[in-house]
Formats: sequence, structure tokens, C-alpha cells
Amino acid sequence: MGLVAWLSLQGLTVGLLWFLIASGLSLIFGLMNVLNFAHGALYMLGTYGALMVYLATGSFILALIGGALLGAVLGALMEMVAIRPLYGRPLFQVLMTLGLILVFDEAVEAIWGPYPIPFAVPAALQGTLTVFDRPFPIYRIFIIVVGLLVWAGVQLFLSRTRLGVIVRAGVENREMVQALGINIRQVFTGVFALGGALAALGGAVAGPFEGAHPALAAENLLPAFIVVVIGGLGSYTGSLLAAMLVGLVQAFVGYYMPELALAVNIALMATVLLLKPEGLLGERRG
Amino acid sequence: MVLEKPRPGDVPEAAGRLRTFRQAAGPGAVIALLGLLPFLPVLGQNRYLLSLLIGTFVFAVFAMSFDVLLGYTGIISFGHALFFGTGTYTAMLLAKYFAIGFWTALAVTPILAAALALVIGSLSLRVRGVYFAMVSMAFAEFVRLLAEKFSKITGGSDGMSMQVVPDWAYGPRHRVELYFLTLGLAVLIYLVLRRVLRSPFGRVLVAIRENEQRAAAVGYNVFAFKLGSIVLSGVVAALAGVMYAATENFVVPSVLGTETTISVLLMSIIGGVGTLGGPALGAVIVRLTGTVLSSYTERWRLVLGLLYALIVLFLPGGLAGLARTWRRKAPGRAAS
Repeated sequence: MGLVAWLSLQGLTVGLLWFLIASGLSLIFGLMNVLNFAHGALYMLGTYGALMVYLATGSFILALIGGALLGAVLGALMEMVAIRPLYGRPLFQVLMTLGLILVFDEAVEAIWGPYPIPFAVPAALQGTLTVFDRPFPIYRIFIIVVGLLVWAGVQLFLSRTRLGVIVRAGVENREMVQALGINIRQVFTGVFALGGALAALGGAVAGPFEGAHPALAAENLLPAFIVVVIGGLGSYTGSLLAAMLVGLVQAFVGYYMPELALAVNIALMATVLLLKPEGLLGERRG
Repeated sequence: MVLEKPRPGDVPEAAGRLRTFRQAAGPGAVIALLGLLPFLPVLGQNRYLLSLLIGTFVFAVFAMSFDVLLGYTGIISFGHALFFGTGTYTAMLLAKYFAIGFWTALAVTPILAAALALVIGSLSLRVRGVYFAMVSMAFAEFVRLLAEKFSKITGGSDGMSMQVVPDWAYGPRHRVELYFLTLGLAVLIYLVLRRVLRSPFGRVLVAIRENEQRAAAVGYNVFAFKLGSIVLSGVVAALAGVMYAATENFVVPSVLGTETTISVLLMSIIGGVGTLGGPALGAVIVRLTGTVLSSYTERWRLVLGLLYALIVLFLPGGLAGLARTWRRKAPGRAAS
């Protein structure tokens, strides 16, 4: 029993990190049908941005805010410069985002070099708790707490604010929202910024846990895709559920058969695609 | 009701023959020039240039295979490295564990690739558009992970080295032989692909790219044709992979990874999709600029990435498309 609880906590930690990337991906896709392949890069830049702020100010809270802000700014810029001119050509939008991976990766290596940079766990969050006689780092608890807080915050934003209602309505039916006199294009930039901020915040929170290195983008993109496919593109709650599922699979399979963890998740995705291509909570499209 | 299927030969015979000649003239000249190159006095002795071109031929084949999907059928695959890498690994493993030579590998790999493409294609064709891109990427990553994890067989992330190419084309002293081997294969594959894409099969692929619903309404089995396109493209990519094994005699799991797919994407988009010449041209440009830029800056891929983004934004037909519009605007051609 102890092992199960301990592994579940492990699974929740990675699951929530992937949720932060996947939720942004999913919202952006739901609203504007753009699948952002460069989303993993925003996660990575969140880590680097937070590390820079942390080294400069020594404040971890400022580091998290700085990382998320960097993600928001880059997300908005991406939408305005690279995505917006291509709304009439969806094929090229996808091709663009894949090419941006190369640009971001190379830029990161040019600025910070190819080697991992250590990211120290802030003093207040160091140490371990004992969970059923097993040591569990406090920092992982912190990740779980932040992940759940962000989920609740965005959920409140989507359900209780006017802007959130517009976003949700846009996901449901973009034309109808425009017909009601709302300039959806402005909302697009905002949602791209929000998605970028969520991914970058994930990267910032994950910093002390993984360190900053250029492979972060590629390593986290695939799990985020798996989460999005299983949860259903465009479904925020679906992302959370699927992230938990994928995180738990990763933890349990990773404990017993470490070689197979990611393979099992890919198999899980293939099964969902075969049986319910729209995902657990997604709606059938096109 | 029986609907007449479009036939490629529906043009007056003389005009058709003239057009065929004009269409064949450009590629023919390029091929002849490349064939003569090793006999030229200074350039022909330059082993560095020959090696560069050998690599270009391999990637030109890979880029053409990618274009069958992206340019002709309108399917975005972000996991195309899967087939390329499978070809490379198959050739290497066959040579290492079964002492099977290059020609047999060249014959066996397409069968394997076709089977793989059938399975993966029928799974991932259940979804379309960006979903397909995502799913194909996941499959490629899956196989890359396998190559990395089964390190006892594949050498893991350290890679493995093994002579795949026959002795007569192996090593720096036989560069010219390797040059002709890869050029010959590339030309052969180009001619076959050209023939297939101009056949009714190829026309249906283009019809699907232009309007899938209409193609289905006319009575074509869109799923089967898409699957056929994936198989064709997968087989050619795997052949490019075998050629890659023959030129490098070394492989690491990253040939199966997203970076390989990104390279082929760069070539296809910069060169121009929807024609076979475009991606081949793109392969030449990317390889050459890469070589030139890398002597100035370590971050040359950043330059290529930005060039790619600019082409996606402003020049959707790529450089081949630019050449086409330019030629169309030129005087004297307006009538044709």
C-alpha cells in the first residue's frame, strides 16, 4: 500500500508538469485549430528564463513569474509574427511550428550552450518528507501544489470571467462568436500567450527538478502530445485527467519495467486513437 | 453511372511529345552534368566535393519520398525519419548479424518498409491533418526509443559501425565508385517515382490533396490511395536509408528522430513541394549552405531555420515555385 501511494505521488508530479504543457496546447488547438509543435520549446525557455531570474535576484517566486512571463511574451510574439499570416493555410501553420522548434533549439544553444546548467532547489523547499516509510522530496509536493493551483486558477478564469467565456465559446463555435461581434483574432493572441505562460511556468517549476538543458523541449513534447490525444484536443479537463493517467502509468510502469514506460504510454495513445479518436473528453471534429 | 477517370495522355499527340521533351530536358541536363563531373579535371578529383554530393544524393531521395506524402497527397508526416532510419538500421543489422550484403539489403528493406508502412499507415490514417502529424511523430519516437534501449543489438545511443557498401565502393580511395553508385540509385528512383506519380495513381493522389471529399465522391477509395501513398513514400525513404548506411557505414538512433524529419522538411519546403525536382533541389541547397555556413558559424542551423520560416511565410512554392513563376512570366513562353 505504501509503495502504491508513493508511486502515485511520483506519477502526479510528472503528470502535472505535462498537464501544464498539454493544457496550453489543447486550448490553442481547441480555439484556433493550430497544433503548436514548438510548445515544448516554450517549456524549455521557461526553465532557462526562470534560472536566469533566479541567479540574478535570488528570489524563487520572482523566478517563476519571470519564466511564465517569458513564455507569455514568446507565445504572443509567435502568434503575431509566425502564425497569424498563415490562418488561411493550416498546412503551413503546422509546418511553421515544426520549423520553429529548430529556431528555438538553436537559439537556446547559442545563448546558453549545449551543456546542462544546474538549478538549485530553493532553501525553503529542500529536504524530504516520509511517505509510508519512504523518502519523498518536499519539492515534488510543491510541484503538485503549484500544478493543482494553476489548474484551479485557469478553470476559474475559463468559467467565471467574461474573457474565459469568450474563449470557451470560441472553442465550441468560432463563427458564432464572431457573429456576436467579438473580435476573436485578439483573443487568439491572448490564448497563445496564456498557453505559452502555462508551458513556461511548467518549465520554471520543473527547473530545480530537471536542471536546464536543450533536450528539455524534445523530451517533454511527446508526453504532452500523448496527454492531449488521450484527453481530447480542446478539452481542458480532459488534459488534466489524461495527464494524471499518463503520469501514473509512467510512474508505475517506470518502477517495475523502466525501459517500457514511454512505450506503454505510446501504446495507450494508439489504443485511444483506435477506439475513440476524439479522445476521452474531446468532441469529434472534421 | 460510370464516370470517366482522367487520363494523363489526353493531349494532342504532337503537343504532348513536345511537352514531354521540354519536361525531360531540364532533369536530363542536370543528370548528364552530374554524370560527367568525376571526369572533369579539377572538380572531379576533389574528394570533398564528391562526398558532399554523395550525401546530397541520399537526402535528395529521402526528400523526394517525403514529397510524395506532403506535396502530392497533402499528408503531413512528422515521423518520416522512421522509414529512413529503419532502412539504415536494417542494412546495418543485416550486415552485422547475417553478413548480408548491400544488394540483398536493398532488395529486402523495401518489403520490410512496406509492411511497416501498411501497419503504421492504417493505424494513423484513422486520424487526419495535425493529428496524423502528431501520431506519426509519436511512432517515430517510439522506434527511436527501441533503437536506443535495445543497446545490446543496436549499440544504443553510441551507435554502431559496420561496412554495408560492397568493397569496390568502400573507403576514401573509392569515392568515385560510391559517387556513381549513389547517383545511379538516385536517378533510378527519381525516374520510377516520376513515372508512378504521372500514372493515374499519382493523379488520384493529387486529386485527394486538392479536394478529398470530391475525390471520394467521384468514387475513389481515398483511404486505400492514401495508404498506397504512405507505402510508396515509406519504401523510397527506406531505400534512402539503405543508401545512407552505405555512405556512412555508421548509425546512431537520431536518424530515427525528429531532427532527421526536420532536416527533410527543411529541404522539401526550401526547395518547393509538389514537384520531385523541388525537394531534390532543396537537398542540394540545404547541404551546400550547411557546409558553407558551418565554416563561419557553429549555429548555421539557426540560419536555415529562419530561412525556412521566411519561405513558409512568403514563398509557399519554395525556390522551385519561384523559378516556375519566373519562367512563366518570361516573354515567349506566354503562349505555351
